[in-house]
Amino acid sequence: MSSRAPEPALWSLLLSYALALVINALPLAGNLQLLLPPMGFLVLAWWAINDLNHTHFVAAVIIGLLYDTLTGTLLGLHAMIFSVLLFLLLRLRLRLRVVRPLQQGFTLTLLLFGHQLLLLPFVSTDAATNAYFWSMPLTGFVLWPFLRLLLNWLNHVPAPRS
Amino acid sequence: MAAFVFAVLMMVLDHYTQLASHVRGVLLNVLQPVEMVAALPRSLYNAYTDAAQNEESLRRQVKALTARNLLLQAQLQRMRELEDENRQLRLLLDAGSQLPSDRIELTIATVLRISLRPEADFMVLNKGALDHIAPMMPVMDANGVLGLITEVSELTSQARLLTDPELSIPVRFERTGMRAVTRGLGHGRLEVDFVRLDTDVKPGDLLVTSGIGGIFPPGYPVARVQSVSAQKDGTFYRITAVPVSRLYNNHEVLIVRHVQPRT
Repeated sequence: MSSRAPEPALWSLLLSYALALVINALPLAGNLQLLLPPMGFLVLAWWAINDLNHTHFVAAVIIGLLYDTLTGTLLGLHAMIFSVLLFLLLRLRLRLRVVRPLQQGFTLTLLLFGHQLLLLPFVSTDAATNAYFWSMPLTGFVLWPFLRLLLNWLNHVPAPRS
Repeated sequence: MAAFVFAVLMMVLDHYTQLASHVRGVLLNVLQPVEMVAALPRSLYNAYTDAAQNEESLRRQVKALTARNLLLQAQLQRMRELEDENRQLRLLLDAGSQLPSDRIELTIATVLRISLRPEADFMVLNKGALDHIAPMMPVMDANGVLGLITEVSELTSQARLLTDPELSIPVRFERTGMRAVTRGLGHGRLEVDFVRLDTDVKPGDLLVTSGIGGIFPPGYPVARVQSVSAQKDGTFYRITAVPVSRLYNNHEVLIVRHVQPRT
């Protein structure tokens, strides 16, 4: 890149993260809650992929801390998980920018799977909820294209040329 | 790297000290609007169903509730009589230190959100510090104990449910008077610890709060014993129990606001 890309508008950053938190705070029936991926992380991933001027680690920690409060976990647990996943994502983001949305979704599914693996030592597992717990990354795969479209539209990101 | 170190440091601080509770309070305040917005669809739905009920059914409901209220009040009067008698008998026996505490104020709170995840079992209530809610206040519903307030923001509060692995409640068996401690297992179940193998325990036994520790007022139902099995090479039973309160279907709960310290 010869010239720096324009800075993202602050309101769209805040709005997207607030929306993600609201989605995760929705009172869903029973185990459906477990199927919902941490939308905050998906939004973070979108920003990391689309805004190359920042590493977004500060956002990762703040959003992580908010998720810790939202899910009642040890303060800093989600912040740790999100920053580890973001680190992996930053290695890949230049390649992820040019691949198809489906392929992006696949990578994010793997990252969400890593999220569950990192979370595992801190949760109480149960045979009844294990299936939900481990299918969360797949829901993330389904939701990613829609989230991507919505955020692209909000931030006027042009459609890929290919 | 710095983010990772910061997060891990935060976890250590939260686990071993109380320093992080201020941070948690700030975060809860940030989350307040989020939780309010997230609870909107459900409250709108409730408002809609309330508005859609016709007058006839509402009239019938009022009649039924009035009748029920009358019945409950009659029962309550008998309870008061028994309470007085009980107190006098206790005084006669010189058991003054065990006078049941009777100064309890109840606050009705609406459940904004119930989080039943492998991470933690808790509910978010719409009453906070501005309504004089403070941590360590018990929460219950019409059937029994639900949990304990752990975090408070200005307008909302978080209550850990009794099935959360981090919450233990001192109880006694109603039938035998044996004391024990419940411990949450997550996923809507409880375990009862410290019941020796030589005691009389049956499935179906009711556990009520013992009042030890001074946090939960004594005598409120907590859970019912589901299964009893002897631990291998142990001295205690392995007992699982299910809460008597309606963990999942509550819309309104009661926060026990003020328990007079027992003298």
